[in-house]
Amino acid sequence: MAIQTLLIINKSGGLIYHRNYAGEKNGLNSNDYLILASTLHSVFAIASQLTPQAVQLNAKRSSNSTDNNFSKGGEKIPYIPYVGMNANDSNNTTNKLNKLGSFMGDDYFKESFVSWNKGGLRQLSTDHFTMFIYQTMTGMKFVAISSSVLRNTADPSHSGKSNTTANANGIQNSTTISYSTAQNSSSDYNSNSSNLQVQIADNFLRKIYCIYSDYVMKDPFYSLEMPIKSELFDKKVKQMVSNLE
Amino acid sequence: MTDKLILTGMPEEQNVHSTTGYEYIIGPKQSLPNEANAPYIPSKIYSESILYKKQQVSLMSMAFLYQELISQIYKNSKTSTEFETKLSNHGSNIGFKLLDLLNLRASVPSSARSSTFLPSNASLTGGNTGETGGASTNTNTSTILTGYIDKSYESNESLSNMISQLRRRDLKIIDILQFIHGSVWSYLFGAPSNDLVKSSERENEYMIVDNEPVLTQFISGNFSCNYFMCGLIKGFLSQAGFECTVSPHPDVDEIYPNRVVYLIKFEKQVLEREALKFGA
Amino acid sequence: MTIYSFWIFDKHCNCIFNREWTLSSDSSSGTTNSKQNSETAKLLYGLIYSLRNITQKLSNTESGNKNDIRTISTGKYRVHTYCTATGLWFVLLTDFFQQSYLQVLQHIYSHIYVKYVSHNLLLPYDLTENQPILMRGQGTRKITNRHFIAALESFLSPIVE
Repeated sequence: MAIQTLLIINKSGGLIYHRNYAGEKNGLNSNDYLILASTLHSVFAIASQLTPQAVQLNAKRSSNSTDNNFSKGGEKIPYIPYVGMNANDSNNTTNKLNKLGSFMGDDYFKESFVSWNKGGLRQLSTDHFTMFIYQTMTGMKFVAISSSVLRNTADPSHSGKSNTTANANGIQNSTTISYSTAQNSSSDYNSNSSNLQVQIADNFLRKIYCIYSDYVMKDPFYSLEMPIKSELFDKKVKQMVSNLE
Repeated sequence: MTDKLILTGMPEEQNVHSTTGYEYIIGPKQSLPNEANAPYIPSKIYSESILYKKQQVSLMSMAFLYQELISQIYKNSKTSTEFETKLSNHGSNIGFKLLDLLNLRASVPSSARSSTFLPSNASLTGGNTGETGGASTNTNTSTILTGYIDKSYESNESLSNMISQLRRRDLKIIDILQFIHGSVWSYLFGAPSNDLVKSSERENEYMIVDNEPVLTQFISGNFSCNYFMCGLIKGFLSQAGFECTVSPHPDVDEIYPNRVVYLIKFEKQVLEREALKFGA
Repeated sequence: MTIYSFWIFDKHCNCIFNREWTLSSDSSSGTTNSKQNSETAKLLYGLIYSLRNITQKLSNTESGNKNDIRTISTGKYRVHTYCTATGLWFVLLTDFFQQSYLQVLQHIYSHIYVKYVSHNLLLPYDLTENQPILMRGQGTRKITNRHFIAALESFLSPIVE
């Protein structure tokens, strides 16, 4: 999962950090990115308004039971070890202590966490890229655009498709059932890989947030809500992005 | 720890939230706990032994404090020299005091320092006394407090008993620099500094190298923030009679993007004195 | 896997068909064609429209092919979109169980919509064709063809649960 672009949007929708890691230019100037950031910010809010009725009903009903991972505090994201950390880090123990700023140990966090992003946008997949959004408790948004694309048109779904087209002349119940079972067989793989991707992205972006809390929030010359200019932050983020590749 | 203490004579509503700290929904508390009714607990600082013990401060809170110090000074300074002087003065105040404290601590023989003394005495194993004092009810707080003060008196006595001979003041430049490089740095950051170098070009210049400065590690692009440590070194040295000026210099490479060299320039008279006393 | 609702938008931003299931256990629950003028339809259209704008800007324009949205995920549901060359949008709101419903949407378009709506000579090609220009975007006309609805129902009902 290679990160192409990283954006940080403050709580009022302003773009405060933007880096392109892919070499190619996509012809967007900084003004375009500002518009993009505020659009994302507003779309984020709209998305939470659109929660279907069935989900709302379900949530009400299952608020008593605690069987699923949608507990009251929000969704639990499992910790995925060493996302974006240097793989051959264990060899050099000399400067390990200071390596992660004010974070102890060899990873920024080691336990699963509750997603603060409850109803808003989390993932956007298109033909060319996938966009992940991590929202913090204070309403900041960390956005990563990754070059990975869904592989959903792979063989199992195709077989399902050809199945339907073969019988497509009359749309009978039998066809649709065979169609949906074919989909069923492939969906396990699909859903797992997609959820894993979201989890990796959430872990990764949370670490960017950790770096932000060190190198931006503890910089006396940074003023809140303003564009981030810290070189150290730049360097650390870049390192983490390149580790992920 | 103040759970019980707050409960006395507090309005109902505040009782409900008093245990949970900052409430996101309610915002900052309107009033402080009723301090008039609370029994007087002397701060542990006054009765604590000054013997060395391992104490750690959260780097995060330290960084925030330092950040606030910097931005406060930055706001109130007109020129960068003024900023550097002010920051340096803050540091030298600490340096003055460290000279006495660390010399006294260094006088305690190392065998006694790691002896049974530390773990056996409850009042020394940081934080414990505060908790027991607070968790007890109002009625018997006083008894616990007196016992606690008695104990710490004992510990003070035992500290002076432990010192058979006070450490002698460092008189040579190289000795006191070694002391800064080792003891002062260990006291402040838990490890000696990365290097202590004598300038090959000038007689009166020495350098202390810090690969990863703890205080300024999160600050990007403004090197003057290291003047705090410069002031500390300067204060320490000048209090000991070694007048000097200290300035920070960047020495950046691939592995250590923040490396700082503290350049210490001693005054002429310091060198002359040394030549007279220890001259070859 | 569960689907929550299904929408068709035409090129004038009108919602020309919608179907919402309120109970995931019952495929006959919910409403048909009840929300064309509601805020929900407009918000959904706006959501997809804005995101399409973003993604088309972000993609490399030199490579030629358009960068279309496939899915939009939030913390609670997932939106699948399929845009036809004629400017129709097929939108499906589902849970997270399955990554892609692209084939489902393509099937609905090619075998249900084309068959019962496009091939139907009595239905206008463009549902807003004869409306005054001011009325456009108000979503007054919709697909009420019962064959279309029945075929859609029978195709989607196994997936609802």
